[in-house]
Amino acid sequence: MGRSQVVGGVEDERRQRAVDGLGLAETGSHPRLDRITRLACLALDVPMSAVTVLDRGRAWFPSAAGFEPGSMQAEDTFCVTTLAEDATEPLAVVDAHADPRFQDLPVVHDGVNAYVGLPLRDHTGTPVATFCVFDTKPRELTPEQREAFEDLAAWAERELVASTEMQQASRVQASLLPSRPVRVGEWDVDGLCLPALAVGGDFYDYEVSGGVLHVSLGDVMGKGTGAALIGAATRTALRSTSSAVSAGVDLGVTVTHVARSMLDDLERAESFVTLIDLALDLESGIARYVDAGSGLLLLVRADGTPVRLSGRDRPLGILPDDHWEEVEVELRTGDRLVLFSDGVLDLLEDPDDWPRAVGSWVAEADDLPSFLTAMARTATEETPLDDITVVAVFRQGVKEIG
Amino acid sequence: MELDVSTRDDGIAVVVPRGRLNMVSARQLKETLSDLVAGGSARIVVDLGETTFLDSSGLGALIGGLKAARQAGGDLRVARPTPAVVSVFELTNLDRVLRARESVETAFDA
Repeated sequence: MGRSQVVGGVEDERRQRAVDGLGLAETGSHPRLDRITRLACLALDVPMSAVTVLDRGRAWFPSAAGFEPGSMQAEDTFCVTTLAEDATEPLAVVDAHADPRFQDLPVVHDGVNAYVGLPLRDHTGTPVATFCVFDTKPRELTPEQREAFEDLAAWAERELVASTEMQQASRVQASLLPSRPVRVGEWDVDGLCLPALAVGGDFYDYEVSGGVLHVSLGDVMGKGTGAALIGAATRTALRSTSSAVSAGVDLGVTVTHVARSMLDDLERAESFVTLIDLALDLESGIARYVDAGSGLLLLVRADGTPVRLSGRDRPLGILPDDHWEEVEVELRTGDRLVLFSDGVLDLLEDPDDWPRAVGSWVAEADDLPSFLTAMARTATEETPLDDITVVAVFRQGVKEIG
Repeated sequence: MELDVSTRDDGIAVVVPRGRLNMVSARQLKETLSDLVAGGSARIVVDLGETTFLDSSGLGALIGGLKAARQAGGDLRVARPTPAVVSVFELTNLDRVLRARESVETAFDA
């Protein structure tokens, strides 16, 4: 039987690996594909359209228009034949009741009569899914409709593969962020990064070494993949200064070194990076920092007073002979420090008044996790246009006894 | 965003971006500026009097234009920035590189 070849054998194993590689969530929705299946129903005047994946002997639908997507046995579908034939032309079934290959399928008993399907391939050319339309009456697509069908299938294929690659990129980028909060003595450190697209130009990093916390938060010009690549490179360059930073080397020196090493790349990419790099002595509470064109660093004193900290230095990648200077500030018991990217300003009614607005968010939070949770909630509600990144360093206050 | 480009009698090019200077429109501004420099107009005034919004990509286009103009022996100056744009220049500490001039006419006087 032709069909069983698709649910077993070497070809099927390769296809199954490719399907797994798509990383599609059976429970999630896929709005980018839904747009295409909805449009297919309209454009081709069919009651049903779907993107179908055959997955370990079952068929399920990342997107379906005109019917409730469930899951079924792979061998009970038209699509298993479409994939088995692996043709570059659509498989067209005009009248399934009269076609011995399909007349016994449960869906045909349930009323499906006409079918057109085309395999969708991943970037290696392996067929991973099908794009298909169904009708309840016997019919054939007109040449124009058939052309539209092939266009829609090509679009679905692109969405399927592109969204997969971006999901993988997104996972990799997330894995470059610190994996857990820091809790050392009186200090709590944690952050969050919410890219506006699948990947973004914001990054943050922190680590504790030799009693010194080294924190950095950068924002690469622009958004998306290009910015993410520059961001990853900058993070690595900053990481390489960590041992110097914990040994007490002036941050003006280390940041200038990073800027020099990044300059060629930034010039070629026609990009720049705003950055806050900060080293905190966990014993003394003395923080040293460089503000490279970020300006978004706020200290909230234990009594709730917001103090804006900023330097006068430019972003990395602007002038070839630029240099950066270290500024010092003391964090006392109960003080809270936040660094963030300018995407946060989009969340405010009056961005110019940000120290007051952000200051009250920080002061009103019970603790660091609840501060970040509130930030994440606000960011998700507003659907921001820019990447949003926040890192917070809280020094615990003395518990009042009463 | 709309973009007007003109060249004055003294050879200084005047570029007027109107509206929001974001990721999409920044590309257009960047191309316009690099075309001007490539075409021999390395003295450029960008009139920001009607630019209502500027993001980091817009800032990147201005900095890119500034670098290109200076490399060609000229300069890029910004005139009449709106408060929204001034606050971006100040926040990024680029207000000394992109020093705001009071008028388009006098932008190259000093």
